[in-house]
Amino acid sequence: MATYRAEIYITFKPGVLDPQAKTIQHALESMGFASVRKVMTGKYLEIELEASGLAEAEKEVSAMCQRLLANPVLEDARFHLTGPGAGVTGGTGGQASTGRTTSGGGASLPL
Amino acid sequence: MRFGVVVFPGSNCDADTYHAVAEVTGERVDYVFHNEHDLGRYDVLILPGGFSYGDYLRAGAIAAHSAVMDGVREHAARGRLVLGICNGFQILVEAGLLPGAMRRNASLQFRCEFVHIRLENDRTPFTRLGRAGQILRLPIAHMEGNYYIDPAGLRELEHNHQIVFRYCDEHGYVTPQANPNGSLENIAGIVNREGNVLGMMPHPERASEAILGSEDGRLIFRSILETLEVA
Repeated sequence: MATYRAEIYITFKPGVLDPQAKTIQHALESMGFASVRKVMTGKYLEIELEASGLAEAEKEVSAMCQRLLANPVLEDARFHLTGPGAGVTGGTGGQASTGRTTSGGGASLPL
Repeated sequence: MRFGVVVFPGSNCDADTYHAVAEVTGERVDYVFHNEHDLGRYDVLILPGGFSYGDYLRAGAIAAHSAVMDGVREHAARGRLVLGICNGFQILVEAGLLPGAMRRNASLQFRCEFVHIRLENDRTPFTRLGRAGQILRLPIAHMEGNYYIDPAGLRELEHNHQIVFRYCDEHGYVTPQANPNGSLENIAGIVNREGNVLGMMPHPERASEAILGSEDGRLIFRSILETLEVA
């Protein structure tokens, strides 16, 4: 077993009204940030979990997103896993950091 | 006849609901705690308002996965009555017992005020003593009451007469101005397809005694009683 860390982003599905984002956009515009074209809000979560490998960690986090963390009627979730078992190596103490961002296919949602 | 009022950590309308049901129906009411499973002794389960689990993650999301909800699901599957009020409605949509979802109010404000709602369907077990078109005056108090469902889901709700209440003005006109939270099609309450699970954002239990400014909420509790008596 190894420890993985999931960074999870939850955002509204396209087309779902996001009044907070609208309010923030208006505020930015009224402050003079004429460059702003779009604002989205969402939630960010970090979860540490034990799994036998990357595939299991992905499956587990995916299930968490579907069953609790995101509401499939309104929200999409995507996540980035770090831990042993994939591509990019980095950090210290022998811990591998995987650049595994799931979005679209595989372990990723849209739900 | 036995009513159960489900109590989650953070429920805060449980005592009001208990009182209103006992007062209006004269029947036995019990509190049912969030960790209970066996709810077979109840004819009606009510999920009251409040802030279950602090509204963490999303309003109702955590409560929807608590142990008692297995019992609520079974109860509903047997055709028995479930009423979710405010946070109770939010829990029912999160649990999938009612379709759609709740968004934050379009105004981004917590809305706490009396509203008017128009009764759209008087053939549910919860509204049988009313008549379609009747206007009720009930209080709301919520931050996430902005009902959403996709276009296909909305067509289904309309086709099956599942929209039970819509926000309206005092004359019964359903207008954007009368919509306190941005809810799609001014929806204030819906039933499931089978008609035995009702979710509503306004609080009938806060409007069941004249001293509280409105008795219009009695209609719901009296209708439930009538339904059980004729069954």
